[in-house]
Amino acid sequence: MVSPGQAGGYRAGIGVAVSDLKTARSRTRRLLSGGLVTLAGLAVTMEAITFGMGTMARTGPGFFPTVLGAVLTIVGLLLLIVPDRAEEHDSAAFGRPDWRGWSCIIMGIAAFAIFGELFGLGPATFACVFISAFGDREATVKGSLILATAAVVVAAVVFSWLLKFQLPFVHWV
Amino acid sequence: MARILALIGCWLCLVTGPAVADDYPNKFVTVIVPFAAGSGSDTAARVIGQYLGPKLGQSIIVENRVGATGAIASTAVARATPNGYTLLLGTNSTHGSNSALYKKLTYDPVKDFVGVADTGVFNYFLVVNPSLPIASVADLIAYGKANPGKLAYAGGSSTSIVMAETFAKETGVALLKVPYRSNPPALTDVIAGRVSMMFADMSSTISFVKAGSLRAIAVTTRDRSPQYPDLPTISETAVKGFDLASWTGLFAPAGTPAAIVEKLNHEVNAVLAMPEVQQRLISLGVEPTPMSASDFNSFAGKEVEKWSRLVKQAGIEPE
Amino acid sequence: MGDTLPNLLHGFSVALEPHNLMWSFVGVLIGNVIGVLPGMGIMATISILLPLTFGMPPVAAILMLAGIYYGAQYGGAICSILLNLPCHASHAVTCLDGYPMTLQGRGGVALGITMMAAFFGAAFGIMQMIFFAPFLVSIAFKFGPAEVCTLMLLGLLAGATLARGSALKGIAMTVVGLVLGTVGTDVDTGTARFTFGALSLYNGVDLVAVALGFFGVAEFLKSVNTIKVGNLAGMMRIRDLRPSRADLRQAALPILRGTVIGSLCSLIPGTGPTIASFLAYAAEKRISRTPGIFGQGAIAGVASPEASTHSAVQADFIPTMSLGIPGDAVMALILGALIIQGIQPGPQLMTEHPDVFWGLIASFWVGNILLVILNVPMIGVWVKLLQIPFRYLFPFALFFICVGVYSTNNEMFGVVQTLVIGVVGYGLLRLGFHPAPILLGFVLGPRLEENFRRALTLSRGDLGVFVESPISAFFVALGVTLVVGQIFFACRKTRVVRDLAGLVPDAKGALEES
Repeated sequence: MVSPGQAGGYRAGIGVAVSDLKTARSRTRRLLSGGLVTLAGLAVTMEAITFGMGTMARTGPGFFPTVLGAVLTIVGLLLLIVPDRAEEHDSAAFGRPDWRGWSCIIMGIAAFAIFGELFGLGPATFACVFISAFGDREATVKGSLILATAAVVVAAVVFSWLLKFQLPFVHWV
Repeated sequence: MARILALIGCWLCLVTGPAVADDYPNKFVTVIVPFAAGSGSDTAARVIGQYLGPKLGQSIIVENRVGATGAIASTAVARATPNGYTLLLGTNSTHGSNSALYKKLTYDPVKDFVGVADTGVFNYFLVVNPSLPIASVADLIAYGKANPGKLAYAGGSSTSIVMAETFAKETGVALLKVPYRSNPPALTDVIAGRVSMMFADMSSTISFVKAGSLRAIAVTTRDRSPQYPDLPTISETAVKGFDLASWTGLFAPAGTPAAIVEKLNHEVNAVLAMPEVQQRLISLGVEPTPMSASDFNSFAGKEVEKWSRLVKQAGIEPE
Repeated sequence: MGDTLPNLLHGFSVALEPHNLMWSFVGVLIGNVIGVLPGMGIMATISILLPLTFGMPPVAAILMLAGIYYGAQYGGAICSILLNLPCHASHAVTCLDGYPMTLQGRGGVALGITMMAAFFGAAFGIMQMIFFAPFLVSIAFKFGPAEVCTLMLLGLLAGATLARGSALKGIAMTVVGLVLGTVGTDVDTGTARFTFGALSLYNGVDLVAVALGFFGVAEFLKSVNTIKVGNLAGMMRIRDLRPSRADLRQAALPILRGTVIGSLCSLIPGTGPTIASFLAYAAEKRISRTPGIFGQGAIAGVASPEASTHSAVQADFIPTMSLGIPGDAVMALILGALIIQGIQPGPQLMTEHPDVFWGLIASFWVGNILLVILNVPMIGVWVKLLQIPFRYLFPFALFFICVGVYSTNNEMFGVVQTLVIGVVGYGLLRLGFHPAPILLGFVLGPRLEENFRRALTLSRGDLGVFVESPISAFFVALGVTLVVGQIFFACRKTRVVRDLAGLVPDAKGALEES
């Protein structure tokens, strides 16, 4: 019952220094994830109790979420205690934070919402693609402009014209 | 500076000016439907819109804004520019029970809207599972009194729940409430016999009644339905004055010019008078009930009062 | 039953009339495009095109609308597999193994398997509709609240460890999904739960927002600046475009099992293709002898849910057409189209409008064959999509995501929801949580709760209702076996680890963090 992943673990275990670092990181992660789940469970339970539990013959709206909250809390506590054996392997890809990529993607989507609400689909599309394209380190202003313009054309032809998308292509509030 | 201001003023007049009935509408008109595409009220709106468009010379766009029993759509229209280009397909939920269902409604069904035209009434059947020894409303009441605790009703919408609760209260028969998210699963359980009865609109039940998998024992309006004159009303059999049905009608945001409201009312009533529209609506279970804009306004006002009272009586807690 | 064949032949004569054939072709084509295009829902498309059908003859209208529905399923898996972008919830679970296959350069194989599973599942669904519709409908009526509730519970138990990684984390995510599913107005009492006063949340969190947030947005947050120019297609070779004989052998049984699960699910009102695909995946992983390879590009993990989705989509028409009870929102819309045409759906549809019923069935055959012919040669083209540099791909994909979630409710709030869910999802990914079980809990949860409460209401509070009927008793027994078995195996595994640790002192620590 040893999967290929676990076999990899043996090899990693040979380098002791690497192992120590990994163990430390794994512990922080365990505390963080277990703690978060526990907190979420408690929050759900606290809120759910206020909905009303009802009776057996007429279960109230609070019954199911309260049970869920309790289960979540228990699982969270278990996560805190039980060491995480089956750690994911692609977690290595999560090494360095990429603030540029993250903020551009987040701002791009937010821009779609804001521009869409204020000016319509066309401007929203342009803003979304233009901003998020800068998330890539190799992005250039010219390249992003071309990309965003192409997206606007797609939005106009495919969504507004062919599919009669309900958000107007351009409008003013 | 003054000239610039004057210019801007002129330009503003030009932009906002054309909101008079003469050249209304000069672009498409959006009707916001508070329920999912394919639902009864949506289909009715689309049928009417299809014929109303050519009469107005502009297309009618039906937009679905589902959620919070119509409160989201109503709020959107209440806040829209009152120029006749954004209309709401209101119902006895948006302009009725919602006032009592929500503690803090984000729109005022009376003050925020002006009624444009009534588009029709959805008559409801009282159906029972055919394996029960119940062939009439009197049977139902007798059965319920003889077998306390045995009758349960399926509620597929707040309207159908209000009907059942009102019926239970007026007749004194204890009914167990079994709520559902929508009509289809509710009907399945009534057909399968897990639940004894249900109030449901004609179009979703008629095929089962014809096939014998459900038994219709009454209609919920004051008068018998023209399509099913053999079915008695609840009012004539058990509860005098029982008159509940869901309805739909067009509303515009308050402040919409009266001329536009009149024009729309006139055209909608003309559409409702067309035989093919009538036939289509009737097949949907809708009985067209054209009335003037002012009649519709006072009707809607009364409905808000009536449904809020019934919801409170039915013991449904406001949110 | 004796006149089934003549009826079917009549159906073909209807479906092959040039006019009807054309509309059915238009339908599957639109559907296919919608399916591939990330960002446009089937619901939105059908409701936009609905007014166009008013002027058409009823048969043509229904053939076209149905074609959009099942045509979209053929395209739906493409973005899930190639981009990890589940634009259609019923293909979300395909991401789990489809995308890893793409990363291994086997995206073409995954698509090929998908097409095969699709056609097989659809064909089975259609056969069912032809021969067993009345029988299956009688089964459907046996599924009351207690049966549906226990089935959903079984699905959750089987699926909690759906994704890679620790079982505990999987359970945690399933419960998070269940909690997300309770957001909104409670059906029973009207109480608003976890809505924090936002009117837009009264109808619950949007399924598309959940799927695209946890998979799409979170995935892009993860891979921005890590995936470079076109290297998704890095290891692609031409011969990898076609599934090999060994691939086919691996896919055969999962396809069969998925098909059966899908067709059964669709018979229960309210249990459409999405639930069917999740249940199929969960079941497949459960019974697999190598559950470890699931989530790493297992062919069975693509084949089974895809077959399930397609057979569910076709079998969805059984209750809709022969009973007049729509299984999901799309079916309700198609029924609405029939009603507008003056055709009353219901038990008499088959006899009163044989043109519609049998014409539709025959058009399913025509449409599905057309779709295979259309799609198989396209696989190579779709795979080429991966050669587009990632930095051009992801801004476009984000735009499609935004458009897609907007179109489900015509509300910007959907976009905001997706953004929040995506950011939270990425945080969870970094902590080693996989989002797939959230989706499972979110999809099954509301059904579970609703039917649990309804069963208790009907039994007046007697818990015995869940073991009274043989069907639900069977599900309960299966669930108990599953949990006990899981605990048993977990204990045995721990013992093995301990034994190993005794032999190799360093191994224990290594195993714990590996």
